[in-house]
Amino acid sequence: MNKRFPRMPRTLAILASLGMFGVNPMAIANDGKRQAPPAKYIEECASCHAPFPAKMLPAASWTTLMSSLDRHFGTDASVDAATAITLSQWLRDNASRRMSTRPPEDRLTKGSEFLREHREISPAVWSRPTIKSAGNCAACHTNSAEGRFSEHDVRIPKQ
Amino acid sequence: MNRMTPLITTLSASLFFPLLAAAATPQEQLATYVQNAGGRADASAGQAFFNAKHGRDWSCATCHSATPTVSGKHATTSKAITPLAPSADAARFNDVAKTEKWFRRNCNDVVGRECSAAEKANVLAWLISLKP
Repeated sequence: MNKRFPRMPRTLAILASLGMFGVNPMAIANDGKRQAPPAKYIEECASCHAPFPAKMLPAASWTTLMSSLDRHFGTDASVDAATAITLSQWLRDNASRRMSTRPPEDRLTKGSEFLREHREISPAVWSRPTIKSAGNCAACHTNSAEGRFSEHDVRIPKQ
Repeated sequence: MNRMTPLITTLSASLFFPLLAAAATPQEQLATYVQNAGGRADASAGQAFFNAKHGRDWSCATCHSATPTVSGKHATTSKAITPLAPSADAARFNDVAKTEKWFRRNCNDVVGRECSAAEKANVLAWLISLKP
């Protein structure tokens, strides 16, 4: 045993250092239930769009998206190298395991998982002024800003 | 010194030093840009720069609104963007790394290159001058 770092404090130190990189130590400790996205994911990705669930794209799509963030659907969404490594790993670890093909342009909203989950939504609903875009998650998913997309939290606006 | 001291020192440094290193007020960040720009900032030039298109589809105002004491909206995703003026949102311009990251990303989108220290000084001087 390392004399300077007795066992219990070393565990704390590891958890604390994970916190520095935006990984929520509680998410790791909380086995079983679906983990909340890392704080870095919310900070870096959810500034411009909802923190999309990682499971809505296959790992290959996430790898491609994360390697071209400086040209991300028409905008520069680049992150520093350490953040890119952390987020890429988390996205791949939590990616869809049943999607066998990548959607066009790796667009999550064109993927089979997204289309399946939204199959009951008619074109008329999508075109409502308060919704308009398939990427406008917050229009209906009231807790999407925190990465929560449960069906219980869905409120579809009337117009 | 007991044997916990190195651990406590390491933890304290790793938890708090990054915050101390990056924290700065909007005025302190403006002072740095002004210094790097050669001495002065022009708020009205900043307003013009903010509201102009620079040969591309978007201006800063496209997403942040022309008077960013109010919320803006992302041009493609429609996601709400909190007001950019520090007087309207205390979380704005309080972290040097964050400020630099967003200038880098957004200047690339709007201007097609990184912004100069003078351009950043002008825009920030104008934003600081705005009152809700």
